[in-house]
Amino acid sequence: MMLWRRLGICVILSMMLVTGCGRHAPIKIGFAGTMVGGFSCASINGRNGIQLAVEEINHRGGIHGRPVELVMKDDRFDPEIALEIDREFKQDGVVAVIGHMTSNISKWVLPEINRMKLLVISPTASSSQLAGKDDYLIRLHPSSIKASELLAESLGKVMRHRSVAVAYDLRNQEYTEDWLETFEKTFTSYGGRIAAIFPFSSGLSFNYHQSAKQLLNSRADAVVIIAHSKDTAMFSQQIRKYDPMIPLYASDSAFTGELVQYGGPAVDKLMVPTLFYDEHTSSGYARFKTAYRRRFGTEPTLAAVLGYESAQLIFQGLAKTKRYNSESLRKTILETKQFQGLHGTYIIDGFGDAVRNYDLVMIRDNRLQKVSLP
Amino acid sequence: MKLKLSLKSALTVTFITVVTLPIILISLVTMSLLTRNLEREITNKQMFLAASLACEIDEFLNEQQSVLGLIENYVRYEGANRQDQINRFLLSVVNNYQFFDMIQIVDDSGRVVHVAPEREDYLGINISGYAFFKEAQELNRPYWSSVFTSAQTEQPTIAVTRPTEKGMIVAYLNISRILDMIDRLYIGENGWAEVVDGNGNYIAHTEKANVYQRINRKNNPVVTRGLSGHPGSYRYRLDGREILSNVIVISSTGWPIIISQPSEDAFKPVELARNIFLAGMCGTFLLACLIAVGSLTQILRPLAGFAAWARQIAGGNYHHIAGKLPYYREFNELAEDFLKMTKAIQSREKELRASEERYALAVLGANDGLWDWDIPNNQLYFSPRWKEILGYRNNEIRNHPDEWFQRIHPEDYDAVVREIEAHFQGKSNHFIHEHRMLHKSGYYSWVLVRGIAIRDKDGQPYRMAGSLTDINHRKQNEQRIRASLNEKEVLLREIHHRVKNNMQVICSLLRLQSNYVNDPHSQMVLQESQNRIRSMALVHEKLYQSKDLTEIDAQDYLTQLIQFLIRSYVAQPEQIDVNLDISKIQLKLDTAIPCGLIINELVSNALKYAFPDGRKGQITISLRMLEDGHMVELTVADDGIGMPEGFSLQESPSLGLQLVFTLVQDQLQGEMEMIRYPGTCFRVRFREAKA
Repeated sequence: MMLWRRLGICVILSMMLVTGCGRHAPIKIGFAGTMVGGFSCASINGRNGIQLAVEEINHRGGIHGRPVELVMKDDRFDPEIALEIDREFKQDGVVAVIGHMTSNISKWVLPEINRMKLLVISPTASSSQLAGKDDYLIRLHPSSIKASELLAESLGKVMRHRSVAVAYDLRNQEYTEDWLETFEKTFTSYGGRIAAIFPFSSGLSFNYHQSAKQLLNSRADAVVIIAHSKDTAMFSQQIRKYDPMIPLYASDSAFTGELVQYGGPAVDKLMVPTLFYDEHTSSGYARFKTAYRRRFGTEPTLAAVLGYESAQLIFQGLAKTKRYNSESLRKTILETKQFQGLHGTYIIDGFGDAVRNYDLVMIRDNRLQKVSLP
Repeated sequence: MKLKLSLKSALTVTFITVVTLPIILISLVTMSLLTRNLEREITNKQMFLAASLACEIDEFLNEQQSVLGLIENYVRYEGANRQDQINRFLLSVVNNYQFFDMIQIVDDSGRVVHVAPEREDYLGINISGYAFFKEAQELNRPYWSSVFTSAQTEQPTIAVTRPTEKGMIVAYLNISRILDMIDRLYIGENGWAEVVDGNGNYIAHTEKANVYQRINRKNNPVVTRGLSGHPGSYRYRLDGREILSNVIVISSTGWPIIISQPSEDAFKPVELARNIFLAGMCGTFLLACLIAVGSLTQILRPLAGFAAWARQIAGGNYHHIAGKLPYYREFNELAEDFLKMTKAIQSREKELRASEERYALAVLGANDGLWDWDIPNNQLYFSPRWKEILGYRNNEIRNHPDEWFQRIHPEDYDAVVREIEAHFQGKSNHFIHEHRMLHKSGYYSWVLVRGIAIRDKDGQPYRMAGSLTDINHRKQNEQRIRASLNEKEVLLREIHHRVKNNMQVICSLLRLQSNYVNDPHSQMVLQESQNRIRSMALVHEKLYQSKDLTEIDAQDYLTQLIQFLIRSYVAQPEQIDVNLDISKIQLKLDTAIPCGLIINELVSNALKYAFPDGRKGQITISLRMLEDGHMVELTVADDGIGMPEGFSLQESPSLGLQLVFTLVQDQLQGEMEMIRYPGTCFRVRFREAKA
């Protein structure tokens, strides 16, 4: 009898130990982005924002006492590699993945993540082709259709440009062509004309100088650049060499990186539809900005803000759900709908798309100023 | 109380402790010192590695500035007119110093005026938006930026700037050179080196991906310390492992250089040394245990043999106690002594058994009860026979002193207690007491209780044991005998009284007869006869008066007899001085009668014949026990006229003297002598038991 009693006590203690261990096992979340190359700016900034959020939550004791572990992988802007790392995330048992940072890659991996039921939250993928779908992709960046429409309306209705020359990056085709299509449709509806469309493939060997000259040769009233921050900045730099006055516009994707850094004075007066601007501040954002600057030594970009908010979204969802898996988390997020962001609340609709408004901003002396349209 | 501590265990533990404890202590101390020194050495080695790397990077940084210095000098001297020359020079610098991906000369506004390799994209652009431009412009000295992604290479780069008169020279550093420096370091299988910029971004890392992915490690405690300018050695935990890191800060840029290694890898030699020591200690411990167990087994096995023998002896089996014990001579000697002891025990046991049998038989024969008193614990054992004497069965009396004392007759109780106390106090050698005890049947039975106390070293009695004898019959017999004796005593006394009376009657008759005799000689004869009879009657009277009816006090008897004789023979008593020297002697009947008759005769003779004509004189009568304690000496002496010449005692015609002679010889079986001068002295010696 004594032996059985002792055995029972040992079993109970072992279970408590195991349970105790399980209770403190970390909650894994993944980050998938392009860490190297031309598209790395958004990923690195986004990753930094996520990292800051993870460090903050762990400093506060984690989620229900469990620390959060960030698992980072580089998709290298390669769809096959992106698929592979998503499968690895699933095997690693992550509850969600933040990424991929481009619409191109996001669209490529969508069928597989739906099959695996792996929740993926993209801070910056904004192609309209990813919207309105019941899938395992949640996006914090609203569909760029709205941005495109806003800018097209502004150019056609307010600025009354008659023609524009457009350059768009083929390397992020999903996004850029989609954006261009909407822009063209809207701009032409206001009586405008696309004077020239200049697709390009960004990269080290690309000659921005010649391309800029070609754009200017179209004699359009304005130039619209649909590309990431570095390409937008480089184009701006080149255009300004020859035409310091021509209005320059860029797509919302330009603001995900160091547009102002790379562009310098060349991007002064550049107009961009974006989600946030400098006067659009809140105490939450001010605190975030200070913390980001202290942590990384640089100013946070839009990608950093959205990366941070993506992580916060996951934490808010995990705090409510009892089971830490993709299905349960997705269900909780979709049911919750409204979330607290750095610039106020935002909505995630039933398809996992963010409902947020774009504002048109102009870069003036390195600051973003809202442009109010009549 | 059975001891729980085993000799084997105690010796084993002691041996092991004594042998291993010093070794363990010395090993621990040595190990501690050695490991500490080793750790210090390893840490210093790592620090040296970091310092070497820092030195190399510092030289590299100086080289960069030197190159930019060359450019600055060239531009200054060539001026603005030699644009193509400047461009060519810049190109040659870039080609010769391939750690620069691009070199730009910018004006104060940030516009690129010269660039190499020459590219239209980069000529004329404005780089004032770059964070490093503003910082370099503010510092106005050679400056290295934080890591950022180069627009032209899309790789992490550092802008190295040098202010000039009209702007600055900006060179974009290919950090692969620094990565190569780290590659050449060997820090163990799992070690790594890292160089971090002012914002915590990797400039270089053993794992290159960390650099290209622009990983920021400002949250690392060691990086934080390095960035705050605190070089040194640190240990911290990372992903569940302890890491040893050494930090050196490059003075020109403030970049921390960190050499890290998992402690378990870094201190593997320490671990090895520790393990060797521990293995040695364990080995020593095991060896000590083995030796201890082996040695002690050799020592203790013979003891086990002894124990087995002892058990056999305790069980009464003496037959298998034999043989030698292995291993040691001392044990064999001990075994021989043990065997001798065994034989002695066997012999004594035999004697003891015989003694016990005798004792048991004696006790049985004596039919006495036994008792054994444990005084401190107040327990008193009574043998079954003890209880039986008082009419009880064995289970009817408990082992308590009350069972004895409460049965003692109230009249005897105090005496018993006194006697016991007296014996306890040492006033008697044995306790012996006859008293009455209550029999189960209700009557008091006489018992004789004997016992002796055993004392401790302080003389206090702690045990007393003895016997109980039923003397009830004897007491009854004694009483009967006493009664009978009393009766006989009375009878005897009566006899003596009657004899005395009868003799007095005879004396009276003789006296009466003498009244009818006119002859003086006849009267004298009759008087003499009366006196003789009176001396014998006096003996019977004294016997009648005596306690035991067998002896009379000689002093008392002779005094009275002589007084009577004086009254009888001396008309004027004042004429004769009689001295009596009679010792305190008890005379039995058989001796008293002859003595009385002898004294009667001799004193009568002296009174009649020693002092004629009214002569004064002295008669001395003495009776004393001689020194041997058996012989009595009777002396009757006078200082009278003495015996006539030629007188012989044996041939004396005197009836009286013949009577004396006969009494001495036949009755008393003694000796008599007559001493003539002065006066006459008769000395009689005879045997009489001492009083």
